[in-house]
Amino acid sequence: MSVFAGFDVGSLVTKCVILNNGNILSSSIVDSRSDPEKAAEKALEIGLSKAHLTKEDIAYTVATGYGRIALPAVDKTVTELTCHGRGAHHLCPEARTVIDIGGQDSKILRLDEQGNMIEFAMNDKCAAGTGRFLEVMAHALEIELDELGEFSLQSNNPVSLSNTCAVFAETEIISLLASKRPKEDIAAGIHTSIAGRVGNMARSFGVHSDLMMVGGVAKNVGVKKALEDFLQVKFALVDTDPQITGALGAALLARNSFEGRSQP
Amino acid sequence: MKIKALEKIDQLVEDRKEEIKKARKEGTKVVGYLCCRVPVELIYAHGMIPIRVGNAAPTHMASGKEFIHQFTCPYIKSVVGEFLDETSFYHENIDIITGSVICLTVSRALEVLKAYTGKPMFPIHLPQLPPGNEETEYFTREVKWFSQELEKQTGKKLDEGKLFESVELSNNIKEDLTKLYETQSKEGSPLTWPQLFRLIHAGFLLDPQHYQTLLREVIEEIDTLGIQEPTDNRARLMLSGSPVLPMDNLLIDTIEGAGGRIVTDTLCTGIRTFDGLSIEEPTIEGIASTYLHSCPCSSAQDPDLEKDRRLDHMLKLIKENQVDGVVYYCLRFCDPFAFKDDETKAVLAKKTGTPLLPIHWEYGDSYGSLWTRVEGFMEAMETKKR
Amino acid sequence: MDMELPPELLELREALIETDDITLMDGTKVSPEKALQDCLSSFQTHYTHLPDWPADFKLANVWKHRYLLVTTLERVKKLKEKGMPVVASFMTFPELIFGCGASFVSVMPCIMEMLIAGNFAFQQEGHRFASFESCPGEPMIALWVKDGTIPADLVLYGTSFGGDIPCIENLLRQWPEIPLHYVDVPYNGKGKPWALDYVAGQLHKLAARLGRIAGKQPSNEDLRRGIRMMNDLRRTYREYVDIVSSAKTPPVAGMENFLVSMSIWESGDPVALKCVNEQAIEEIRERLDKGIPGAGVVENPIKIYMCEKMPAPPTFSFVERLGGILLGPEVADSFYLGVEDVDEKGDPYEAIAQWYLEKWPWAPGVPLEDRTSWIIDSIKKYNPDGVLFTGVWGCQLDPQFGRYVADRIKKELGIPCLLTVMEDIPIEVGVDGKFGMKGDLRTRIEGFMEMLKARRG
Repeated sequence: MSVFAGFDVGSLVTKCVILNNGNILSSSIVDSRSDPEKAAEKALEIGLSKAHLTKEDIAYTVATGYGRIALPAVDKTVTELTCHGRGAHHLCPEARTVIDIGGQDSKILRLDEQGNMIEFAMNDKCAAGTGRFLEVMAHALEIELDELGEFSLQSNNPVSLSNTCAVFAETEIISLLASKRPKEDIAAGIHTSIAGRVGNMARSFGVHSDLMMVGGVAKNVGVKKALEDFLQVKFALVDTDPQITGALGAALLARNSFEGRSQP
Repeated sequence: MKIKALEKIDQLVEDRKEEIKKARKEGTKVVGYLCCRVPVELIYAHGMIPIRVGNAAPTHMASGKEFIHQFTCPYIKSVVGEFLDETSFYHENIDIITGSVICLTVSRALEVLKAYTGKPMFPIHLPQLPPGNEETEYFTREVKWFSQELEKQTGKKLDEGKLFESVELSNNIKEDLTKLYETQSKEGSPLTWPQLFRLIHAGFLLDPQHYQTLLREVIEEIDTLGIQEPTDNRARLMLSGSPVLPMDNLLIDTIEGAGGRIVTDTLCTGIRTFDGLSIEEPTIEGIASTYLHSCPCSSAQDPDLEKDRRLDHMLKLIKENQVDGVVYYCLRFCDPFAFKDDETKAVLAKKTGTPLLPIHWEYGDSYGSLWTRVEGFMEAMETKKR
Repeated sequence: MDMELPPELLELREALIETDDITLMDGTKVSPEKALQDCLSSFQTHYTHLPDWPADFKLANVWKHRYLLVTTLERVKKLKEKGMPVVASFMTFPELIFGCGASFVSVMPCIMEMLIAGNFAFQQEGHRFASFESCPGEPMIALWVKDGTIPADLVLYGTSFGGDIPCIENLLRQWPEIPLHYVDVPYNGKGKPWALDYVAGQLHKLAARLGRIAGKQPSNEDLRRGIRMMNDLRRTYREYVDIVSSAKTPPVAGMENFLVSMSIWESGDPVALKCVNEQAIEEIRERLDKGIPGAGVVENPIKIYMCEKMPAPPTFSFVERLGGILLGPEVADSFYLGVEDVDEKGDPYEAIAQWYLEKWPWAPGVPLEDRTSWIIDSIKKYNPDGVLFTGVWGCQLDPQFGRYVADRIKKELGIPCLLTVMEDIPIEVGVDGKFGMKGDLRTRIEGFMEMLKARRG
């Protein structure tokens, strides 16, 4: 049995996927802020123990994400652009446009029938429209990040945020709180703001169905809904945790490389 | 103070939109333009309807930036975003695009609008240097070319009689606006600068005949109300700098809310839409000469600082309106204004001693910090007075 | 002076001393030995970051381009001592400047100071002078004129040469002793006789002013000589581009190509540059015949054409390590190639005016549609796998139309175009001044390379 490991070392968390014959045996997510190398080791350990395997079972490893270059022990590194494309294609072969919102950036990918990335765009160098933006805003609202999405769905009257800059938006939120605007309306406003930012980028690119959303922020139902409203398109439904898509893509590429298939 | 005639503006603007849609169905062409140095009189004389493009400030910035880069000034991003929004009034109803190119960002905006709408576009290049014979010769021929391009669009020659009428009507409007402008600056005036600013913007869309009727009504009402006993001692401020879009009220509200009173401006969406633009000779030569000799914005080049047209105009308005301080608004990536903030400040300090507050700003920046700056500026002026 | 050279340089030195001298504009000859030594000593004392580009030491003659690059200010000072006026200019009308017997300094020495000498404090000073939003290099030329580092007799600037540049040069008017000269080149002036008259008229005034400074009014023949100097230079560059663009495996490294193509922006000496271009071409042809690829360039690499400007320097060798090469950039190609040469026969003022109004596609006065068509033709020459469009922070005209250009490239050529912006140089390079591919630029470039490789299959 050939087993492959994919790592996605992001700016906030590290994801690991253990793969065999195209099946996800296990996956793990650990905090990676302090030390990406240790985070990857820990993620692998958890992943292996869940799958009842040992390091010796791994035939090939591929790392992606911002911290990919910090991992000396992997067999190969590939960018998260290609990996998200591969992972998304595996989970939903019909997907042609993929939106990935991660901790540090947001990306739009276009895929062909084989899951090859044929075009991509990334956000400007700015936290607007990223997971980091959400984190700052959740902090300003004093709401747990994981709860922000559900919480915002209570709103019928989202505020309109004029700032996309995370620093200014935070001050804007503080002044909105001071003027006693309900928190759920502010939360919904934050999601609309991200949706506008990312949605416009997707629009300039041409949204080709089927549309899929991956990355950690895809877990936030508020952002997802706001993006669907903005783009007037529904996202493809996938059971797998969207946050591990990049790591899955990396594991799939590990298998390809091992079997000597086409390069990414 | 409440001025009844002004309350009609919103309705008039809405009605006008319907009127324009109807006129288009009957074959009239609508010309959308950028910059205040486009000879609208000429467009009317060709039997076309000119509309100054750009309305709601921050709303369309995000979509605009997908067509024209993030590093473009917010004014242009908003204009582009709004124009290219397929549901916008502009997108649906404008047949021809034009603009006066003195700020090169405007040229790029025009090109992007042309590329993504496929509408015909005729840019007019306004000379950058102080006008001499060569500039006059060049610009006259450029305006002639523009007129000929419009002739090709309508299929009709320019009618001299219509040009005469159009210029006369336009001159009358400018005269009325000048009068209103003088009134609002007086202590105890029933008309405020923000009210007049809004009234000026209505003119970007309204039919000139109807617009003049509206202006006359406002003048009449103000004359009846008369100058009141001044009730406050607010600082008299000038608003200068980058374009302030219609509906972009945050800065204005902040200045007035923090206890200042705007009495004059140098804005291309304010006084510079009519000041110095009265046309003496109703010909293409006369029109070109008027626009060429009017005060340009900061994009123009005056290599001799002592003869800077923009600064001279500013100093003249400061004196005429007894300005206590200048709020100098620099939109992000509006290089012409943003780069010259220190220089402008130094010139004013030397020539009139007027303090200047530079505000480097992107639409929607933090309201709180804006308030703090404006209030602090006025406190400093107060301290100086004492 | 003798210094210890690393082995790869010793080998290169052997090759270099065999080559011909450089002939400068004033007839002075510089031996290759001296050029190399001057380069190395300036690298050791001032441009200490240059050895960070180790992959690009292979072409001997390109050291002469390096020499011209690091000695611009010295050479200009020497020319001034000989009575030649100095114009500080952003590549504005070199034909006319040279024709009037003047030399010029462009923005490139400032970029060198910042990017290669790592003097970021200087850049910050420039930002303070103009604005944080200004382009990284341009305010510094103004500062150098102000403090006398550039002994400028005239600061020449114009409408069609960028958005913020006129605004920055204009700030110098606060020092009335610095003479400023502005030329207004109309936007969309193509095919308009009145625009041609207008610009030609202004060029007459400019020539008269330069004539007064030089103490001799230029004749039409003088100006034609200036035009020929630039045209001759353009011809050598076109020949160079033909070789490099048509080679399946380019015989130059990305950084060498960058130095050759960008040297017009720094040397201010078309005679010297033509001379070293010719020598480099000979060497490149030889390498091509022998099938030697550029240093660090793989066989049949992924070719990326640099549209508009170029990314931060470490990108060049980074792309090569990934199996590609960066070619162009458009900013140089368009200036050298244009659509054609400046006319050498007719009225020289009109010929120069016409070239700037109609034939220099990079000039913002040329409508975007025409420029993009030119770009597309130019890209076809290179037959690249993809296009990298780089706008520079603060350059108010470049990044703005990236989307339009990219859309047309995709539609008409069917190849991908990646839009990036080079922000402040310290951000790209790292505040310590060390080059390295970091953060999101790395991901963008690497992802783009992965995509291009996958497209080749």
